[in-house]
Amino acid sequence: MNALLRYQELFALALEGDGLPLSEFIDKVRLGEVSLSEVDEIVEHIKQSYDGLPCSLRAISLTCLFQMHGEAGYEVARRDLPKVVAEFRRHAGYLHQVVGLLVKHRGLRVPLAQDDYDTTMRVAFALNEGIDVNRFLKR
Amino acid sequence: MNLLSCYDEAIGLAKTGDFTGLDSFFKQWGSRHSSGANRGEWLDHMLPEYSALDVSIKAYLLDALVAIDMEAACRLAEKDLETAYWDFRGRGGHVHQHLSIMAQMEGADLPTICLDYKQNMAMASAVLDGSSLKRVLHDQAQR
Repeated sequence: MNALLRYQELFALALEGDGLPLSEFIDKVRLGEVSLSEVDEIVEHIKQSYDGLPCSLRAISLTCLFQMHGEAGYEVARRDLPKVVAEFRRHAGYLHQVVGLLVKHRGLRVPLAQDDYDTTMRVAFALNEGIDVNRFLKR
Repeated sequence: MNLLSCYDEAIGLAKTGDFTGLDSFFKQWGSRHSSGANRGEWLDHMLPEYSALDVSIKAYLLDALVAIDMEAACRLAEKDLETAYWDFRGRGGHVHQHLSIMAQMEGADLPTICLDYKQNMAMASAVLDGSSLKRVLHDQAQR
């Protein structure tokens, strides 16, 4: 089977929860057991399809790309950085909103600055796990 | 047009990035839709779809709901907390992954712990402003 098709098949398998065959395949590429022209084909495929993938798949895709071809992975990571930073800000803003509402609703006294991502995450964790927020923050 | 189809239309528009439909939907809320029956009907319609919406639309809706029904807003926040938390963690991990790849290729030494979101974002912002990652990490080590 052509290496690109094999990669696509193993990528789909990894999404279903079995990532081992994909890792083994990447190892083969790194050991030089797949011809360079076929590796180029996979690298091109990932570069082309990357932007259209949902966020969670982009992470796996980028790891594969980087492991097979460092320069290509680097290029995509640099190009994609503004987008992932903006995505993080949107999600951090929403988590801050959710946590702020719950903290207020429960009458907790927790200072929550918009850009204090680490505190927001810790409060979210404590609320989600149902443990005492203030005691957890003091740790 | 009735309440629910107005809402669906506004959500459809918001999915294309245009929030003007939602703006006018909630502007009309006070004058036209504010009866308890309407509110209940709308909540039943809105809540099941909520979790799957884009995070910017969720943020908008949660904000709007705070003004309409604080109790319902808190219940919704409670229900969506876990999703919001893990989405945040995933996006934060993604920023770290990008920085880590860049650091490896630029011969810089990035801390391997990706949970330090504030620091990761400070680094990413500095890089986007034109600093090299090596420089940023060097400055950070000096502090």
